[in-house]
Amino acid sequence: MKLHEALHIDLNEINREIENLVARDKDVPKKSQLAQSILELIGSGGKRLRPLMVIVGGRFGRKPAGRRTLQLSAAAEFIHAASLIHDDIIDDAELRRGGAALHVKTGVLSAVHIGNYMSARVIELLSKYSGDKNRYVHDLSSVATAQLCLGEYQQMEHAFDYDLTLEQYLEKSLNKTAMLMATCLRVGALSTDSPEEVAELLYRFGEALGMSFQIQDDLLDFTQSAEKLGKPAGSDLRHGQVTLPVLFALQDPALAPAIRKIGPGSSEEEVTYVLNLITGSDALARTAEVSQSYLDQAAAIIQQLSGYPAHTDLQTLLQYFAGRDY
Amino acid sequence: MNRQLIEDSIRQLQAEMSPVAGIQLDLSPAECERMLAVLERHDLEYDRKLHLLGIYSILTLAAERHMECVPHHPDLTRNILDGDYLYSFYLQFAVKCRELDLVAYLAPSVKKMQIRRSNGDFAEYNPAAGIDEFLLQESRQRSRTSKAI
Repeated sequence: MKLHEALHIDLNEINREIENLVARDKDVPKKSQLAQSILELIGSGGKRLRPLMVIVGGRFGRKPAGRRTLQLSAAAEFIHAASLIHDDIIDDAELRRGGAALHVKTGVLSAVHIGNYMSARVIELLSKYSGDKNRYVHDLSSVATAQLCLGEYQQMEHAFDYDLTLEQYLEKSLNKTAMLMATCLRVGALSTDSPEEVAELLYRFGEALGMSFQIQDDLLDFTQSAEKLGKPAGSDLRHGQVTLPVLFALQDPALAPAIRKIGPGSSEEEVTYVLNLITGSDALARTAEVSQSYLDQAAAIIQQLSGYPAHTDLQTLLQYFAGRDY
Repeated sequence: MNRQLIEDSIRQLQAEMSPVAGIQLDLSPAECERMLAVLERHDLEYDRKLHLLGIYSILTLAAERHMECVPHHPDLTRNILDGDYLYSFYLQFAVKCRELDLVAYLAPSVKKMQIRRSNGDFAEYNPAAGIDEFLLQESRQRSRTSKAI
């Protein structure tokens, strides 16, 4: 069963809402490169995890979910997709979801501004919710997006930095991935008027889930096939991203010298040799343990929300994240 | 007075921005002049002037950094991240300064600028004009309200 089915969420309704963000924008001609590129990108797949998290958050409020929750869920996907466009330029990635990356089709400068359009469209749409009590609607575009950028800065700063500490790695992962997921659950909850303390618990649940997600992502770079990943296996190491498996492997004096030799000019053979060293060590098992510890934290938060019928949806999310293999 | 305003505004923005981003606010005197002229036309408290000059500076710089995103540019990654960070910081700063009505007013023009630029039209973007219109509208509304009372 797919995640949205297990959560009893109509994914078509969310997809329509996402498409309508651009299709119903009177300032964008339907046949324009901008409209077509965005519709192709959002139509090319994606798990819609963030919109689903907004909808689940909306089930913890005192009011039923309505148009606002749906718009926030679409906004979450738009913001995520905009970040992917810019990420692909930064990573010089030519492929996205099996097709050419957007910047390959439109050129870099145009792609940067298409991503900007998506972010600006979200701000325009959500600006209609005015007043102090509605300020939270901008959390996705402000705090969460700013943190996402900070995570990227930290990643750039520490490329090929084998002295990165565990704390620095965790902070980068929190910024880059977990905070947006946490914010999705929180704004969903606030959109249906949930108590602040419930929204805060959901935020912490999302943070724990997001941390586990990022750590699993780092792990999958060592264990999954290029076909399943949609990018060459070992990409992180090749691009100088010092992820948790690398940090654990660096603690082994027998492995550290070979890992530290990997730099921007390393050959494919050198990278493959080190990838095999790390895969053959206990670093992957230790990484999986850390990921599991975040899932355990998330499970403990579900217990605190067990008075809400929607806590079972959190369990569904937890099971999905625990069993993720792509 | 203007020099003090610019210095205070930059100091305030640098204090609010994350040091992780490491962005230097290096607006040209000509760019500042455009916004200072707008601020002089309106009767505003000093703190509000600081906030509006800050918002103008962030938007101008964000748009500039993203115009420098060309392939093989040595600072391509930094330019993308700086622009992205500044656009999200713009909203954070506006929320903090309680200028969300201004954000709502500027939103369509910021969006249209992105559409134009994605389409290869790189005409200059001047947020000072939009802020000026917003302040005029605000002042007209205030005067209507006071007459009604």
